[in-house]
Amino acid sequence: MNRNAATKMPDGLPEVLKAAHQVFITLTTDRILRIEALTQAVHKGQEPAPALTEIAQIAHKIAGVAGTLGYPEIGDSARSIEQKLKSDLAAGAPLRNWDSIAPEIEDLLDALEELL
Amino acid sequence: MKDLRILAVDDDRAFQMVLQGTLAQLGYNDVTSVPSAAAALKVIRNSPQLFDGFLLDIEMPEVDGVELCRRIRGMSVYRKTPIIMVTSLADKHFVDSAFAAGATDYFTKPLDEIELRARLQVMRQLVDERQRALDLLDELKSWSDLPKSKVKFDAPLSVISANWMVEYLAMQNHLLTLNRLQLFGHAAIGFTVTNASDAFRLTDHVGYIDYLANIATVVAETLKTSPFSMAHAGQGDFVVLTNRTAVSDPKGLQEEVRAGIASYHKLYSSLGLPTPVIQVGRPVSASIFSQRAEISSLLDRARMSSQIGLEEGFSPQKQWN
Repeated sequence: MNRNAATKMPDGLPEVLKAAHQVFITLTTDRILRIEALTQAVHKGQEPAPALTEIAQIAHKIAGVAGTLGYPEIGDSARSIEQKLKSDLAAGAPLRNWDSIAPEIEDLLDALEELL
Repeated sequence: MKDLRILAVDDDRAFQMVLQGTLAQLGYNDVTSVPSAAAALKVIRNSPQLFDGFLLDIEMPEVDGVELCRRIRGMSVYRKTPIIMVTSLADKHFVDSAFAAGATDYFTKPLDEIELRARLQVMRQLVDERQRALDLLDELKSWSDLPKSKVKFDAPLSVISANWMVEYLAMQNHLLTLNRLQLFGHAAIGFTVTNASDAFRLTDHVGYIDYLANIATVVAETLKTSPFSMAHAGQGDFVVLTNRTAVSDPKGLQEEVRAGIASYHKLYSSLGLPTPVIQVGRPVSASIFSQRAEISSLLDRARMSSQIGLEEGFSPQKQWN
């Protein structure tokens, strides 16, 4: 992780969104660590629903702002993860698509780490 | 123009800031942001001034946006205040329950500036209409010296100061200024108060204007999601000009207007007036090949349709070629 690049702004980001961008980057470190911990818990066989619900909530927050702040791919990826997890949780089968969702989460984490 | 006083509720600090920044870009600077339903309720309780509108995130821990919407609606001062829900695509299915809880509108994350601008314009219209309704009360009080002879049952009457209320003649003239394509996009819908003559007979001029103004406001509230203009054509007939696609279910619209009117039943009884009985007509629109004479008669045909009512030979839309 290159933490020195934390304040780098996407080109063309409006002035009024720069403070929001800084907050998003600041929150990203904790979000990466939290998603990693929750993912590990699922892999270790712990009760998956609470962990996946929380991952979906974090993905929801990332999806809500990433595109606006200049990271549309991250926004799309987070939205896709959020929708798939919520769909499986609602169906009562939280691990139904876990084998395909887990790699997506890894890709999202890699993309988030690039921001730091 | 007065700045709208908005309370935005979202548990994500980054989104709050994005929203606040985007609102500032659109000219909305009086925005208070809080991170939870509990914080929102506290701010609402302690605020010395009323908020003009609310933006509520649906997905929040503990008390979610839908429940917060329900609680805000439960406060009498916010019974009609615009509440716009903010949701993600994954949570779009919650929108129905938000509307059931009293939400006015919604938009989806991520924020789209054009969409947000449109939603806030609707919010401003609703706030302005509410203000005009309050202004009307003052206006009516000042009309107490209006000679009775100025109010004639058969004549068009401008009954309310609202930007959507126009003179009947002005509405006719407006239709004639539209080109064929613009005209094709419009529909006229009549609203007939079948017992208006009884109200005219039983009350004075102020009472009759107030009676019509109340009906106009109820009709306007049912049409609030689409742009429209309204004129009173005389004899208790209103005509609304709106988008061709705005009213696909005139029967449903009629039920909604009647339900809105029914909520004033006690008030009419206390004034010794009959509760207005409203008949809605079929949307009447011009075809792309309409001749000038047919365009001129469009509003009359809309009135005729509402005077006849929907019960017999109902079809959703009548086109006049």
